[in-house]
Amino acid sequence: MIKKIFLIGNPNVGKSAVFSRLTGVNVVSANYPGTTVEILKGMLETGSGEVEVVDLPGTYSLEPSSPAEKVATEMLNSADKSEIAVINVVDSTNLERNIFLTLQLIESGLPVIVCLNMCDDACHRGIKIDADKLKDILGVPVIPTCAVTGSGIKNLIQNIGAARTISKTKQSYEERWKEIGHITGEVQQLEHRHHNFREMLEDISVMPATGFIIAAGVVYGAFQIVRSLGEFIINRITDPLFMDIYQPMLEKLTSGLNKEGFVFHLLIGDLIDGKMDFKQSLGLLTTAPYIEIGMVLPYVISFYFVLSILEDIGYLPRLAILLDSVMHRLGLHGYAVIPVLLGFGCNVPGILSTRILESKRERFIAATIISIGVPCVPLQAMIFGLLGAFGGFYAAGVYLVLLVLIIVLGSVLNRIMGGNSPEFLIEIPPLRMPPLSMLGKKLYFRIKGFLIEALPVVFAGVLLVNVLLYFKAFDMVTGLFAPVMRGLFGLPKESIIALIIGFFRKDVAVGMLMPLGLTVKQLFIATTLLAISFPCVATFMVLWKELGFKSLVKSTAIMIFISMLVGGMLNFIVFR
Amino acid sequence: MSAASGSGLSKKLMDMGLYPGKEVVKLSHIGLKGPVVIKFGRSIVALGHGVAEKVTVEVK
Repeated sequence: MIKKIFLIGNPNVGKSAVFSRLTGVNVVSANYPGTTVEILKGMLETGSGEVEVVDLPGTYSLEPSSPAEKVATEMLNSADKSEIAVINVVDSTNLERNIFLTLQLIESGLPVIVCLNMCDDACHRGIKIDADKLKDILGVPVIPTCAVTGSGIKNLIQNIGAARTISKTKQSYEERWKEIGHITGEVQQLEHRHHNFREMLEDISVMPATGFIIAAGVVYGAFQIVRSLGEFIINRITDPLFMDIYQPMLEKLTSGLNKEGFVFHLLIGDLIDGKMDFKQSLGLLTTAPYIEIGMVLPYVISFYFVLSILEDIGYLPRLAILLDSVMHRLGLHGYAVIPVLLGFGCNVPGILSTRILESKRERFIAATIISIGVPCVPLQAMIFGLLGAFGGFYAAGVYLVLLVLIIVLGSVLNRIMGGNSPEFLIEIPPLRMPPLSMLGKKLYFRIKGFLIEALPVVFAGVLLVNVLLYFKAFDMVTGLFAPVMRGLFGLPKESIIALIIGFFRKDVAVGMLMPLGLTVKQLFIATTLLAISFPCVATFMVLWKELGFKSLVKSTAIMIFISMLVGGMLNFIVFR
Repeated sequence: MSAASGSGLSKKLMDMGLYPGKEVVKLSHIGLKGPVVIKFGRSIVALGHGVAEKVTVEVK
């Protein structure tokens, strides 16, 4: 009786697509004890009850050489072989490399069933694999599937019970590779054909001359899509919802309330020119939902939509190798591009994903760069909302300042921290059509995660500001910081409140700047300061957890110093 | 090709299917000490500059 199913396979073989097909939506993600390796678990309905499915990290070999591979092997070894089935997901377009792990699994006496995935892709590339013959040679079931479309998955589920152990002696590396050559020769037929367009694209996207042009195009295109998709959602969906449906409803509901009273102030906030203003009123039912759902959420959706597509196409590793030599100068290697990109969505997952970097030094540099120089989507959405009114020039200016900051900061940290950035070795996956069904699921989880994380903090932040404003509690603080704000940054003393609120939510903080009536110069300086000064509290906690207290203090000290420096420079030198 | 150094490097390369004697094609080299991209079998792998320095190839 099978009690547990393990999914194992090389990286980038469509393992998560198979997992997703087997398990549906109730998926739990957990860290393997004592490590940062993430494992997904779900349930499979077999008809005669539910069985747990465990998605092991991508691995090339059962003789582990990375923490992720070690976890995969340990979990397999600790299971009772009579109670499990091991689904070995194999990429049909690269049988030779994948069969290595298959042979190791069989030699270890595990009950194996081979899932010959990406069959349609193999077909496109002129590769024909005789699954029956492969089954005869290996002695274990071989099921062709295409997890992206779902074909073959039913067959796979029906055959899980047929997974079986066969006795086979362990081989050395050389013997195994020799056997693989023999097997692929027997079962695989390569139809010779010319490079098709996709294969050509795969090659030229990693060559310097063409690669950089493609990369520039991809990054520019991605940015444009994020922007226009976000604007589309705002103009066509969220703004009409707020202005045409929500506002009249709210006005009707609160018409009985005393407009000077505390309850009205709490719910609606200050009236601007006698009317409620979603951006400036700072009420719990006006500004709080509008900032998060009306201004930020549309961009969060469009950002994760584009990022998920880039991930699924297999483009990100290509970007990583192109930028490797630049990243080396910042004390990182090319792979650090991925946490940085994630950080543009939200700093928290960005910093969490610095786990893919090997050394502590690298992780410190990457996390510090992300928390200081990389603006998250909520912040960017607000920057566009505010500075966009004065033309794209100013919004672009903020990015330019941040870019220069990242480069300078990275180079300086690279110089003063001992050690070298480690070398890397990565496989460049083939370019593939993104599986749209999985895209929806991924997007759903990411957006849900964002809302759960952000909404309570936004409401709490707006509530706090609202109450403090009502009782005029800010006057003391503003007076205290007035010399710095006015003298160093050229900002009105009230803007310190926005900087403090920025510790809770950057988007609410930029919202706080709106009623102040700042000039373009002041807005520019204030938003730049918001971007580089203290990260929001969630980022702060993750920094603490991931880097430890000492590094957090170091990182924070760097942050305060840089904020002062950049703010002062912008005020006295750039904008004179 | 063959890989020097007894570290995990040559084992890692072998796990990925790059074993001594395997035929490889160099696809590109991203300038300024960037990675070297090679193709073998149906795999494309990028070797960081330092890794690539430890790999010896015989040019055919």
